[in-house]
Amino acid sequence: MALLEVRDLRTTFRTDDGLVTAIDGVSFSLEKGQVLGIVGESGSGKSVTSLSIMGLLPRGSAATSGQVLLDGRDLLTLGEEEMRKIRGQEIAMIFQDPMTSLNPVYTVGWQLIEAVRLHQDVSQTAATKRARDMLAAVGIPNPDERLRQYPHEFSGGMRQRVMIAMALANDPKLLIADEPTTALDVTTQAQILELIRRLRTDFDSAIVMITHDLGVVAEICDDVLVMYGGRVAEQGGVDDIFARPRHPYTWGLMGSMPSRSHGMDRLQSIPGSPPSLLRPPPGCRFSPRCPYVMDICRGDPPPPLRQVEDDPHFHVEACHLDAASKREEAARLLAAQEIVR
Amino acid sequence: MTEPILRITDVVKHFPVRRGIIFKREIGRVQAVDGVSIDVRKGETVGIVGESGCGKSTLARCIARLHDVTSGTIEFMGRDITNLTRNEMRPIRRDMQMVFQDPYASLNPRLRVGQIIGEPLVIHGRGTEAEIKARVQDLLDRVGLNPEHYNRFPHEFSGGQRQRIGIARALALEPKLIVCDEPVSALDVSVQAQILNLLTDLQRDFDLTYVFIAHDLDVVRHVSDRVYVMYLGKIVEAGTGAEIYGHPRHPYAASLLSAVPVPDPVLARSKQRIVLQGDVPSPLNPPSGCRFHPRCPRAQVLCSSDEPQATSFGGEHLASCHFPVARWPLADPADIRRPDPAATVE
Amino acid sequence: MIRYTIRRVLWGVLVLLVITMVTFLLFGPVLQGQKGLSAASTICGARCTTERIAFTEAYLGLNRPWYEQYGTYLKRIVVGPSERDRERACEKRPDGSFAEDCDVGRLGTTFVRYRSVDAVIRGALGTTFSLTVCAALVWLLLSIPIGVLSALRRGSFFDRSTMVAVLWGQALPVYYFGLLALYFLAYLPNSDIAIDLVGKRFEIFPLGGYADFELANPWPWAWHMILPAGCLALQFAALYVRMLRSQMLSIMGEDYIRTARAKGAPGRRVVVRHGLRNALLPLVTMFGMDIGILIGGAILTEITFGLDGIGHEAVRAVRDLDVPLTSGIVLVGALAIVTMNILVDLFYAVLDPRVRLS
Repeated sequence: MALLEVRDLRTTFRTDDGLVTAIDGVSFSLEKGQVLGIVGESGSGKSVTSLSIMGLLPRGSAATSGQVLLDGRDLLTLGEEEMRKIRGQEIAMIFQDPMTSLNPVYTVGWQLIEAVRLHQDVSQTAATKRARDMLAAVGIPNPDERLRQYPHEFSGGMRQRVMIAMALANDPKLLIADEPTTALDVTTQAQILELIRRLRTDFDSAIVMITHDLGVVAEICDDVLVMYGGRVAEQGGVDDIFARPRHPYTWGLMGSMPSRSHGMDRLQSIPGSPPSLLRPPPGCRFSPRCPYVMDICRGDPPPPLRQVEDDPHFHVEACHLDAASKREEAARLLAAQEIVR
Repeated sequence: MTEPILRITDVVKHFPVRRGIIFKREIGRVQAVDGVSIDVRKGETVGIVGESGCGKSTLARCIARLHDVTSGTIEFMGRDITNLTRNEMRPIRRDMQMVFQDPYASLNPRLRVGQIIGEPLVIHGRGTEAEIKARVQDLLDRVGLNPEHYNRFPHEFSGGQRQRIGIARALALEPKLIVCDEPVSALDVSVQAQILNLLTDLQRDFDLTYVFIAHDLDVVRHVSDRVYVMYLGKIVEAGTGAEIYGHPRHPYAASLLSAVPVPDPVLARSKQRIVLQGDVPSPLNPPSGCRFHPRCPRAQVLCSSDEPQATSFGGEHLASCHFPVARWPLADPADIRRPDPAATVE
Repeated sequence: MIRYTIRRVLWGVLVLLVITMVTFLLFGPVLQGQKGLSAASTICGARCTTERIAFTEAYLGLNRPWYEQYGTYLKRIVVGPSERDRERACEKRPDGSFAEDCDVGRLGTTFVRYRSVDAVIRGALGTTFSLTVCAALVWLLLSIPIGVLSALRRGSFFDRSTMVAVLWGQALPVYYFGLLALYFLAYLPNSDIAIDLVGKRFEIFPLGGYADFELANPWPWAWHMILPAGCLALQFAALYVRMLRSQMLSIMGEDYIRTARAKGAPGRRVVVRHGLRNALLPLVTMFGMDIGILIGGAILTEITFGLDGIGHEAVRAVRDLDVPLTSGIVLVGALAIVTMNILVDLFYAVLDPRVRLS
């Protein structure tokens, strides 16, 4: 049994302008020690997915359906108190902006100890020791001294390490990282990615990595979920997706990256802007921006997820274009791209 | 070789830090930019790349004379503009425009798009109302916006469209040089590509020169003819894109390049990385000698005492390092480690 | 932290010095220049001869240069009244001592009531202080829970009714509320109308006045305080509810609140330890300033409820052209504000570690 199995997750928000379906039928599963990447641009629903799993969306205005099975237990059926016990203990989360994610008025030690004592019935001394050990484990020098300092005395990279230490304090089975390196400089990003890579083996937890950067995906993920407008565009193993991308949005994302377009005068950009979830386009949500759009794409129902025929592993995509054209187009586009290294 | 359109010589920008009960005394200086020299030739794009706190945005503001420099000179189109007053700068600003990072913050929310783009034309008295309107609509069309949207407000546009408005405003007076300060870093990947393409097209059509400042190495490489790498207020390496990205000589440039995630899982697995330790030191009290030495995997005693001078590596390639990187791409982790002191003494 | 404290206190002393200087100059030499307003002519009355005025001026030391006068004035404030001040104010006994009830003070003697300014202010301060403390307690106890609940249930019926009440509370002046309260809770139940309606009088609340606080029986004091403190508190509570609500709304949207929830902190802990703790920060500044201002005199409330507090004394002093009393009250008010300001800054530095080091 998979550690985490998400089946047909659907989250709807009630807003002044009516119901908004922020994510619409997302399914995936994740084994222990695996890293799943969720890639997408703003409004793709990638962050809502993680908050839905954590049960952190406001209960009044957000409705989530489907199943989120953690070790076979459906989290969506749990009450707030049961869910609270799971948050921070079985599933932990780190966020994009380490500068604002720690409470400015408490010491780092206080916040780490709080994380420990919320879930473990241990003494203050034991919790302090655990906090200290966690700081050391994420590579923070002088952990004893650092425990007594406030977040503003830490740099961005160090704060993200504190967030990771706090997330791992209770040995969670699953770590959700929501754009953990986006706000960091590239050398700090490399440090944090290195740390996550190491922790994945040391702590043996599964990781959901939410990012907009295909580079980060290629560096540390095993599986990828490409999301667009709240739906899955393409999903599969990282090697399969990069070697045989089958959805025009994935192509566009790859073509938009300067690092994959070495020597080209122009990038293969995607026209238009990411869709507003308030008024998503009918049919395939990528259709208004898709260069391969056909009449069928604009009408309901949206294209279903289909297995990519020439891939032996699990690799699905949702596009009406016929398989042969997609094969040819992907091959043509990839041949044109030269990757900077 | 063409005469540079912009020549920055030894520019220093220090921000004094003052403290005191009643009388403020200076207790230190943030050495944001410390002796930077850059040449920009007509029609080219010069990229300036570095991490946050390296001084690249301060440099951009010095070039546009939004900051007064502490010392050094800035020559633009053959004229020394270092000490010009606001009034004297006005005619110069026609030829030198800026595009900023945040398309949300840099547009006045209460003005209509037509007014925003037309404002520089009105200030400089370019034509009648009707002529200006026609010109603004032409500009909107040029940057890929609907000329009909002349009367809309900035909030009615998406992030990418707002950046297009910012670019149109910069273009209004037909400048020779545009200083772009992180123009695409707030945008989604797909939109970022559109804006980069737009900048490329405009450069070709209007014979523009760009100074392009960004933290994203891939973006800088894509747009730039020549690149300067900054660290803690100094240029550590300079050269054409091919020279720097093909074989970085400064260990900082090499670390930066090796830290960028490669968007291909197969290549990513085989790549040798240099993961720098620690954080960028404070520009208030920068390290002695080579400013990179406390974090440098190759640092020797010499590096903490003597500041390295720029050395040529052929062509336009310059790097300021006592122990430059000899082999690239890194085939072995040992390639970046401490050089054998005996081997480097010449 | 110690350096910071010293710096703040030094600043406070400097500000107070400037204030003594300004009040002295305004009420002394500046007023002196105005015909009929000079201290000497005020003291000796309307039918005063020129010699008499000159004598009074000399007696009061008003003929000396202003900086000397200021020096004397400042010296008296700092070290206390001199022998000469005592002689002037009290009868000297044959053995050279003064009567026990010799009433001289650091702030001089009032023109009108032949008491020292110190004694007048001391008498009024108790009332004002009681009023301020009671009102502050009430408005904090009211506004914190209401503000928090209102923010947490944004848009609910509770929130909307609170906002309407806040609008009323802020728009209606304290004398309006005060008079209504006095009429319905003090006058009406104890009037003939009550007899007509229910055949009995009730003394629910007094129509005004003040009773000193006594530890043995605080009830009379409290009984006199309820209406004035309540009315004053309502007005401030409205302001604080609005401030706290908007603070909570923005704080609860902060990333670290999401972090606390993601850690598995229970809802109440997230709201109180992580949310409220941060939301109260700007209110601390406001609270300190408000207390300082109120100690300088809650004029409208004191007058409405007939309380002889600092505010009431201030109005009287101005009306009577009682220069020493007016400047004394100004000084005490300034001292209250400056002190509260320093306390707030120090307290803030303890509450918010980000300002501690700078």
